[in-house]
Amino acid sequence: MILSQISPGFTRKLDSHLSENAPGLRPPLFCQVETLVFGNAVERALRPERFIVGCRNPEEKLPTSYEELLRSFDCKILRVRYESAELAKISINVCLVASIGVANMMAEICEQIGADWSEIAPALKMDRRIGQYAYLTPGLGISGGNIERDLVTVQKLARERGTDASIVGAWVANSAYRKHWVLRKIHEHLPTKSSQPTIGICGLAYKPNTKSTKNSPAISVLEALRTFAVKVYDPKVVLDDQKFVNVCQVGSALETCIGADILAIMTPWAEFEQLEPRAIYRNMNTPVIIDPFRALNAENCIELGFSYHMLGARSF
Amino acid sequence: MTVEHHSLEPCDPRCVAVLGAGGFVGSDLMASLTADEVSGIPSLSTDVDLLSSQSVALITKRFEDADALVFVAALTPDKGKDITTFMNNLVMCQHLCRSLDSLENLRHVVYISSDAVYAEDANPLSESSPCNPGSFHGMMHLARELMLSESLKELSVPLLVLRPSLLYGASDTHNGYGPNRFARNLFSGEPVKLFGKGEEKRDHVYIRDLTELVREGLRHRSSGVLNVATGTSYSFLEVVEMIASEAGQELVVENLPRSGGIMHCHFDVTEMRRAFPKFRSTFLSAGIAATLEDLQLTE
Repeated sequence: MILSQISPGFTRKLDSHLSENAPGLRPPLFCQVETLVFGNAVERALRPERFIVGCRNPEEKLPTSYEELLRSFDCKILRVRYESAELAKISINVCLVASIGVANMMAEICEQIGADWSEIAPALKMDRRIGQYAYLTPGLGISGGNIERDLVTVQKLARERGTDASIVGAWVANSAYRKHWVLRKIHEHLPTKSSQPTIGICGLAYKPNTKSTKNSPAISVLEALRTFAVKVYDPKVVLDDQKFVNVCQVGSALETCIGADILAIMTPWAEFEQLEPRAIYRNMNTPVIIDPFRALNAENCIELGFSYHMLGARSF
Repeated sequence: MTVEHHSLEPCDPRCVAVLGAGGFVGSDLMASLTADEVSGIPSLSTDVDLLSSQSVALITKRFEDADALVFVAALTPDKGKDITTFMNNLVMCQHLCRSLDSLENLRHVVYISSDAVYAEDANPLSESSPCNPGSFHGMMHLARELMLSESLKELSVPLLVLRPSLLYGASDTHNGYGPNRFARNLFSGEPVKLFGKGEEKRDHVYIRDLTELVREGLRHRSSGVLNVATGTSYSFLEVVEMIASEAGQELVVENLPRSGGIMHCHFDVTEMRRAFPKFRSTFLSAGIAATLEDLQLTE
């Protein structure tokens, strides 16, 4: 049983290798697609949507004990050939990237023309062809590492086999562009009067409920702000002081606001929703909030007179 | 290719050679170096004719003290858009490349290229946009970038390539379609001629911004490719309206039929923000105001 992420073709090759080295003794070999989601791993493991099992021959029955185990989870079992199972995991991620790519592209147009993507996305989810669980939340590019790895695999396969995967290049370029959305906003709103502005950053993890910072937009922003004074806070991530000498890691979200000219909320941790806009206003030097994921109460912030910037809607 | 800084502590070079110091960009750079008392060796086509093979020896002699070199000499499209101009521009660069290994003090080169190296329909433009020039001018800059990069690689001298968008400023002699020509129309009382209704959006860069970025690149001994733009594009009609507003007088507009479709150009300036975080672009309105003031003094 192979549960690891493997390149398409690996299981068939292993199967041939085993049969060549042990003729007459061909052990059962399966590859089961793992669809773990960082931050939601236990829930996904206990209540899977379906099992995708890669088999030597999908017509053959699964061994009884294995089938009994899978049936105990009360979900569909899809028996497919090895190659299909291996590519299924990659295909799922590619579909997610396509949805996210659409959301990001359209959200940016919303920002420019005064539409609000948060009003459009629900309408799309009501379309059966798109679906209620579609990934339509705009973000700051692809991060975390797993999806990026699958995109590289698709590009590699396409190069080797001569198929067209140029669309993947467009997604990757769009992702890199989105990653710097906050940096562009910061530079747009840096106060010109202050020669040494202070920037507050809330959140370093690439998404809430994880301490992973792999390809995290917050880290790219920090790398591009090395000449500025920066205060950061994250509930889980501890920053390497040696790597960012201009950065001071503080003990709470509110502390990042003290004397700050710009506050950027890079990860929508639940605890940031509790931040009181009035308290932020009192502590900041200049009232500018960049809140891509709308972690704060946008209406309150705008009413208080913040210059407020979010993904998928016009700035205030 | 992202920008990399080879001097961790920014400091001006000891002596900067400016090839093409008589032009719009070169003269502004020389003025900036002089104002900051940085030693500069200007070179005009009358001093060193880069089209002549003798220029190789002349460069070696004239620039022997230079530790940095800014190459901005070119036959611009107003001098010709044909094959001959293209080939001559390459010959000029070839002569410079031949002389590079004899410049023993040289530690850094900045080449002023152009956004014409990109495909016309790439949008928004960034340094990773595909290069696919649609003109000899763009092809020339791309070829020169490669000639310099290959020559300097052998010498381990860092090369910074700057690709500016449309430049404007009072001393621009090219009088191309844009702020300079429109401002001159204002002073001469002629109507501004706009193609179509002037809907095309472009990113207009004030000359001082390019000079400041060249200076920053020299101070950091930067290498790589960097677009020079503001990140905000305006239609040509908006530029005309801005000039009229700054001057406090009406500008008569004459609309001409356009030959092709409307093509906009926007820049993603993330790399510039990343490489030079403290650099602030001049707002178009402020740049136009300064240009009008300078033109008033000179015309």
